[in-house]
Amino acid sequence: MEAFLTGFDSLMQPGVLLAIVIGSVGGLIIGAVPGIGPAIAIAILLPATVFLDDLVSLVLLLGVYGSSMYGGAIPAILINTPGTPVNALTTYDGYAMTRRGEASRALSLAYSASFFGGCFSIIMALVALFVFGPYLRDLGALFGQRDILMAAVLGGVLLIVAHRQTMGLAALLFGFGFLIAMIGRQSTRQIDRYTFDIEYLYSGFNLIVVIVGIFALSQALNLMVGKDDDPPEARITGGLLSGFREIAGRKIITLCSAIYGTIMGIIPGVGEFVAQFFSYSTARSLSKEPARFGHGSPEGLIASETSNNAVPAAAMIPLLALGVPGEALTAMMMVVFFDAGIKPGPDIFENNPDFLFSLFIALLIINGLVLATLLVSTKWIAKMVYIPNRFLGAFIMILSFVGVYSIRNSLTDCIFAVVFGFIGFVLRRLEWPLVPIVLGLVLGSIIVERLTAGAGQIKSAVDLINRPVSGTLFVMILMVIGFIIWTSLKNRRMNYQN
Amino acid sequence: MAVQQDPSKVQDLYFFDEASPFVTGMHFQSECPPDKKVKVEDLFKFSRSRGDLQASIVAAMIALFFLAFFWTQTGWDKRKLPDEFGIYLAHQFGLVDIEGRITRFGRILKQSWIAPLLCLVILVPAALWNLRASWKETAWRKRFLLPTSAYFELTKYVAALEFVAYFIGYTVIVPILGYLLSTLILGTFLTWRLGYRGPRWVLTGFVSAFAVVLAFRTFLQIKTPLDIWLYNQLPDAQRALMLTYF
Amino acid sequence: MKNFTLPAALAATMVLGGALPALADYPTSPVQFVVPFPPGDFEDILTRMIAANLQEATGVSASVVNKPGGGDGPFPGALEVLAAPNDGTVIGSFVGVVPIVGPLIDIGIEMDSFEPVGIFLTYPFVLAASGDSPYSNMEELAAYAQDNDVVLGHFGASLTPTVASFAAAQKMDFEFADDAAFDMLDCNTLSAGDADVINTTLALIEPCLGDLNVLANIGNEPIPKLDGVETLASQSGIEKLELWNGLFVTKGTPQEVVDVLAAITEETMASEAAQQLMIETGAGVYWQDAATAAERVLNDREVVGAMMDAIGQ
Repeated sequence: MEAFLTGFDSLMQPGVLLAIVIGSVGGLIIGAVPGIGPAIAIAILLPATVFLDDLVSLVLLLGVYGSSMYGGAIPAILINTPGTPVNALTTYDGYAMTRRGEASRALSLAYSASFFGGCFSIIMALVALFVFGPYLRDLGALFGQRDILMAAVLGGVLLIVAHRQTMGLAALLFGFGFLIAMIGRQSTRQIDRYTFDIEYLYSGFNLIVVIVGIFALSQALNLMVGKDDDPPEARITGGLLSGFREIAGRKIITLCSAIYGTIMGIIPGVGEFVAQFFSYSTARSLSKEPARFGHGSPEGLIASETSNNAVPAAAMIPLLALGVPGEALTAMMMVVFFDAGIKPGPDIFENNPDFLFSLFIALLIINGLVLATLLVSTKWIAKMVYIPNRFLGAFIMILSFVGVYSIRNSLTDCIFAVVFGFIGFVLRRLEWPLVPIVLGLVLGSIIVERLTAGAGQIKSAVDLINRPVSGTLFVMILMVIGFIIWTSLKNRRMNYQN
Repeated sequence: MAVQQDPSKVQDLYFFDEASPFVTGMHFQSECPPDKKVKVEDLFKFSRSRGDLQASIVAAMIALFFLAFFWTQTGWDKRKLPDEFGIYLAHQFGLVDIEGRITRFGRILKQSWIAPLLCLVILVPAALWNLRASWKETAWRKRFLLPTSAYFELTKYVAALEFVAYFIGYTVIVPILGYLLSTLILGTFLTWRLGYRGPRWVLTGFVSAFAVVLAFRTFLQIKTPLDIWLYNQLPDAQRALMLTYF
Repeated sequence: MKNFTLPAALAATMVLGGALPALADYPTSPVQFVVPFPPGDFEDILTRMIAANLQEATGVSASVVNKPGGGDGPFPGALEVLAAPNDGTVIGSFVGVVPIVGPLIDIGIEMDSFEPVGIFLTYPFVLAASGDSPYSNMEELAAYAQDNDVVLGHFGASLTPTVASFAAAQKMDFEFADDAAFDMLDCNTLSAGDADVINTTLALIEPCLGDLNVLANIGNEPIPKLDGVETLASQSGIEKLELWNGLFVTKGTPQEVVDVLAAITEETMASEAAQQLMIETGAGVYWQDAATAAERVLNDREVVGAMMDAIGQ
């Protein structure tokens, strides 16, 4: 109890509170702008943290991290462009709802779902740290390179399976993403894949370049080439709290998604993408209207937003308890921990318990603050959808340049971004799914990295699956594939019978 | 049709005047029974649109291209596999027993061609399967005289290419004119090109572009090219100012 | 944070020694420090301190840019510094591998591509194994490895500590059954069983240091923090070697750029924050000026070259 009070007190300094506000609102806006995501914002803010007070810099980064996914849902829902890469799944259902004129309902669903997800994982994190803290160290020992490899493969399989009607296409585009991830040369490891001796290709394609191209620039082109819509006046009726009521009516799916997000956040190295896909697939199978998923199903929206917002707080757990970052953004925040003299790891419960409390209380405040801000200012942000489409497309194009260039200071990156933009544009017109490419990129690089790193311990093929976690995951993969084959055979038999 | 007709009044059906008052109580009945409605699952159906066949062909060609270059571009030519690889694989999966020193499986997995192999195993069958499905669909459509021409799509692609060219042009002039000027030019030009011709619109474009530069370059200090021809023409103090803030 | 007394500060600190008029007052334009690794490690932290001090002292914006090369280590970042103009606007914060191994692999770095400003950091590299492994120093490892498989985890085959580990293995007459390059080597790597022996910096295994067997440290002297652990060189008979990080500029950069940077960096390394880092983590934080650094590079080139020849790289 003492630690709780100390932690709470240290948050109540004016500097810290200001940092929370700036981080949350700033992160909201940064998340809402496609092409600028929390990664860039955190990378920019990181040098500033050397001079700021430890807790101040930490809550600033946390604010950006925790609120960017709220903000990212806004353009995902209103203009079919994810504000941050993890909001990609939200575009499926959110934008469809906007086109039906239910923009405010979608937004309030997204906020309430995110709020629920965020708070759920924070509370779970606190409970877990209390109850299991001392035992968590042994859990990390279960997750080695081969286990993560299997998890990534399972994620890929689930991704393809989730596209029921278009599995071939999803597999094709996943393969492309995978291919793009692999292009590159690593002369120190004698690895040279498809570089055709072109110098730019030596370093391969950067994830953010591809994402900005395939999502933002393709949408920009789509908007500029099309006509200006006249969307019906999306009156934000009933306040935005209607979302909470809707969630209360769909407790199971919301709870499941939040649990998935939390679990995926805890598993080191997995992150938001896989969390969303597991929870989306589950939600679809639990739902009474699975056919609406992808076309404006509120449950789909809840599933994606709850789980992706549950990940940040959960990702803090392996970082704090084991010193293992849950995903890339959390790893960047490890710097601040070291600067603050806080050593993440099992000792943290004995050494800095009040710091832990400050962290999670700050996250709770951030979630609440963002929700409050959104309830008040959503109308302003929602007005964005009335900006004429073509003008918005031009604007997105300008913003994308900024986002892409700041990654590697490379103008060639910008040119490739627009090439991917054109490819994404063609895909949009054909109604082929876009997300498998990005996931192919992410999961593909994870698979290749983990395979190479884990290869040291692989003496024979069975070593890949003779660990408890990787073995279980492998069995799950086989079960999923078997299930799909079985259902398609069954369908074919039924079709012949008809 | 279940309309009751008085044989003596047939010709009056086509003659509209007060002499033949409007007959009420006659309902039009369709032959389609009312319980056969549109199913919600149909919303979820993926139907291939025009241009799909062409895109599938391109996709298959790209996949085959990468397959063709797999042998030379991925380190396959530098591969190190144990002799009698078939028996080695059988041993790995527990079917055969070998004596003597066995190469560690991991050493094979670390080679650079493994990842492209995994990828092609997914990509090529998927591309060919997709092509087959697309082909069948197009043949079906042709049989029923449904439109299959992709001409309209092509016009849209060409239109998009124009904007791609603008973006590339923008990328080229940023190192020459600096971020501020290039963004202002792009913003205003695109606004004008997209058809927003009134002075208010052009001003809006100009101001938004300026706002972007202010927010991201001046305040957040996002990185932009450092070696700018125009700024290099300025005297030192101004050059430093422009480079830092714009 | 922007200091507008730029002219005054410049006039006070700059020396116009035969420099071109455009560079009469260095720095006049924003300076970028390139760290070819992801953010968070020692060199990143220290370079950020240097950049901040430079900005404060001269009023010109100085920033740190991370350019990780993924599996290719520091080389892509180094190549970018090489491609930048040599007027002091882009400075490289490189590990020793760059000037030592860079010229040996065919990517465009020559022996004289980079000139050192100075060296300021030694990484506390160690060879560690998990606590329940049946060996606790190099000799026991050598004995164990004769009949059993031992897998080494490292940050890259061409990195100096890795080369040293292989050379030591060869000198002590044993072989690692296999090895794997990782992006991150920490407590989890050992406890999850991804490698039996890892080659990593102390900071990364800090949380579980008490539970590990540290077999040796790769450096010129034993680390005071680690009790009873001897250097790899003394245990195996290879030459003394350590992995250091320094500031580098491209060939042809004016001397006063080097001087200004050297002054700022020396000050930064002597500051309390930097020294505190050294005490807490076991890294070596100091300052060796350009001449010493150049000598060190030459010396290391010979030693590492010999080792790499010996192990057949």
